Amino acid sequence: MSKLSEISQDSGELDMTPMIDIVFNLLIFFLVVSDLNQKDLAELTLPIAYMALEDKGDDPDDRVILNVDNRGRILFRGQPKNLDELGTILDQAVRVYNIKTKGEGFVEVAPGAKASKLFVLLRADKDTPWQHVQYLMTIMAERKLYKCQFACSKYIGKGYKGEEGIKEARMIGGITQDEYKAQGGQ
Amino acid sequence: MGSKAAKELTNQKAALELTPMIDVSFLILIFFMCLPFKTLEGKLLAFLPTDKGINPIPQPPPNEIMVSVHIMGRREQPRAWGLEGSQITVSMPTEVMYKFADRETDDLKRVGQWIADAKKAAAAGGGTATVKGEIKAGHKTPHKFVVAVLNKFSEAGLEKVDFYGTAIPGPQLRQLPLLPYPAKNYLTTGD
Repeated sequence: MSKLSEISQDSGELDMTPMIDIVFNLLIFFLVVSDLNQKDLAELTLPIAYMALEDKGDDPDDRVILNVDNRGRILFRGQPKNLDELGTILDQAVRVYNIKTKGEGFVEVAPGAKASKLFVLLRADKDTPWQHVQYLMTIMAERKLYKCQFACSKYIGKGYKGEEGIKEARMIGGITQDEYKAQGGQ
Repeated sequence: MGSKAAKELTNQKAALELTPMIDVSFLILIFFMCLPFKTLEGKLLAFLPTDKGINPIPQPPPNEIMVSVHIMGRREQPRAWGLEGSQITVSMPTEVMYKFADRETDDLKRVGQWIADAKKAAAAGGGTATVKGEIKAGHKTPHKFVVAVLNKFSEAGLEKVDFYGTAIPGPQLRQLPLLPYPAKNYLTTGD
C-alpha cells in the first residue's frame, strides 16, 4: 500500500535534456553536411545553353567538379588551387575511380591508348577568359581525362537580369523557359 | 535523525549518466570530420610524374569531316546604311566574331545555320565519314561564347567536339594561384 502511494506521488515529468542534446547534434550534423555539399558548387554566373541536359547529380566518386571564377581562379571544394595542385587532385580522383570500378575505370580510345571514364564537370563563369578553361582541359588531357561536361544555365535567369543582361543573353542565343516550351521543348 | 539521512544516501544506486558523454563524443566526431587533412594531399605529390606536356594533336583520320568554328574577340566590323541613294559605311565594334571557313559574322544564328548546312552536306555525300566539331577560341574570349557555339553544335547533333589550345608555358605558371591576366579589358583583343 505504501509503495503504491509513493508511485502516485511521483510527478510524471519528461526529461527534455537528452532530446534537446540529440536535436542539437542532428542540427549541427546537417548544417555541416549541407555546407560541404554547397562548397562543391561555387557561386558563379554560368553561360547559357538551351540544349543543355538537366544535371541530376552524379556520385561524387564518379565525377570531379571544378570551378573557375571570372578572374580565372580555380576553386575545388571552395579552396583556390593552382594547376599543379589541380593535377594532384585529378590524379587522386582517377585512382579512386579506378579502385571503385575494380580496374575498369579506363576505356581504349585507340590501339594501345587508354582514357579514363571519369567525368569532369567544368563550372566556369560566363566571363572567364577561355585560356583558363583551356589550361584546365590541358591538365585533364595530361591525365587522360577526356570526358568533360560544361555547366550551363538552360534559360535566361540568374546573372542575366535587367535590360543589359537580357541583351547579352540574347546575343549568345539565350532563350526564356516559355520560349523553349513554345519551340516544343519539355 | 542524522543516521536516517545517511542510511538513505547509502541506499541510492550509483548510476552513470551516459548522455553527456555521448553528446561530447558526437561533437568531437563532427569536429574531426570537418578538419581538412591537407597533409594527405601533400603526400600524393610524390607519386606525380614530373615530365608532363600537352598531348600532341592527333591528325584526324581521313574518314572524319571537321566542322570548324573560330571564335575571335572584339573586332571592328564595317556596317553599311543606305541613305537617300548614298551609302554610309561605319566601323562598329562587335563583342565577338565567329569565323566559319572563310566567312565571318557576329550573328550566332548564322553560325548555327552554317554548322547545320555543313553537316547536311557531309551527310549528302553518302560516305561513312563521321562529322566532328572543332572550336578554336582566342585566349581572352569569354567562356560564354565558346559554350554558345557548343550549344549550336549540340543543336546540329554534333556531339564530338575538339578544342584547339595552347600548351601551358613553363612549370612556373602551374604553381601560380592566379594566372596573370588583366581583370578588365580582356575583350579588347581576341587572339
